[in-house]
Amino acid sequence: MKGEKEKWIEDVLTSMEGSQRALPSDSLFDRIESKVSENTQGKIIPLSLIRVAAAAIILLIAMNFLAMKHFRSVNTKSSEGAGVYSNLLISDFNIYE
Amino acid sequence: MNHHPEIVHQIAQGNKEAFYSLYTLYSAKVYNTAISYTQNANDAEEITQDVFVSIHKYASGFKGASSVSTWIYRITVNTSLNFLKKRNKSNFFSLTKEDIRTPDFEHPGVLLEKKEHSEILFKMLETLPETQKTAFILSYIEDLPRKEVADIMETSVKAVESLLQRAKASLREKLENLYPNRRITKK
Repeated sequence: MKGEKEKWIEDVLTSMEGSQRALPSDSLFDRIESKVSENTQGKIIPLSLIRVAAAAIILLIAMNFLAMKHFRSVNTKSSEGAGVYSNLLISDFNIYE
Repeated sequence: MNHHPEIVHQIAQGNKEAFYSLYTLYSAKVYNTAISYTQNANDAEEITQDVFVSIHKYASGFKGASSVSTWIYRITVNTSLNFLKKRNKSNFFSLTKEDIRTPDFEHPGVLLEKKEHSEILFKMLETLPETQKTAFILSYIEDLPRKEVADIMETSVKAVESLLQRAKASLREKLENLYPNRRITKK
């Protein structure tokens, strides 16, 4: 009985001896190739996208430049007015003269 | 002279024939290893796909520190173990035991007269810890020399021998408990 059990255990442990390797399906390589192409294409940035990005950056810089120019001219006018106003304030408070 | 490193170098250069050549040389080894872990043909194909995509991606990084075979087996083992971890995580959240129970696995290449015994072996293999399972699969199912198994597992030959001893001891213990309950098949 013990011998039978030992034999059975040994048979289970060595059951893969003499076996053939399992083989994948024939279509697997095609699927691998598609996946590889997909991954490779992802790395290439289209030229049109680069052009659009460059145009957007130039537009942004131009808009910033125009905005700064406008801001400066507005500031100059308002600071002149502010100077007159502050003089008035000062003169109004010259109570000791 | 083993020309496999040259094939990997060609793959890194984008040579499609070289990639197919490597696939022809290693796909059965990768698939057979993967199916020993997953015990499922579809999952094994998914792993094989991931392995070869990785090979293609990292071919330029292969410097020849190990043999190509060791390198590929290592990717296969790691991909298989990661797959099992993900699968076990999703099983953890499954609502019914039906989802978790794995059916008896019949290895496609096993000899007919050993089919029943191998089904039991694979069932028991699932219970082994990762390192013992890997050592067992590479040594007794892939039939690799101990030295190569040690290189793949990045350990010593002695450590592999120790893992195999422990794996077999653990399997024996489980099989001894199973013995009285086995089905008696009529001859």
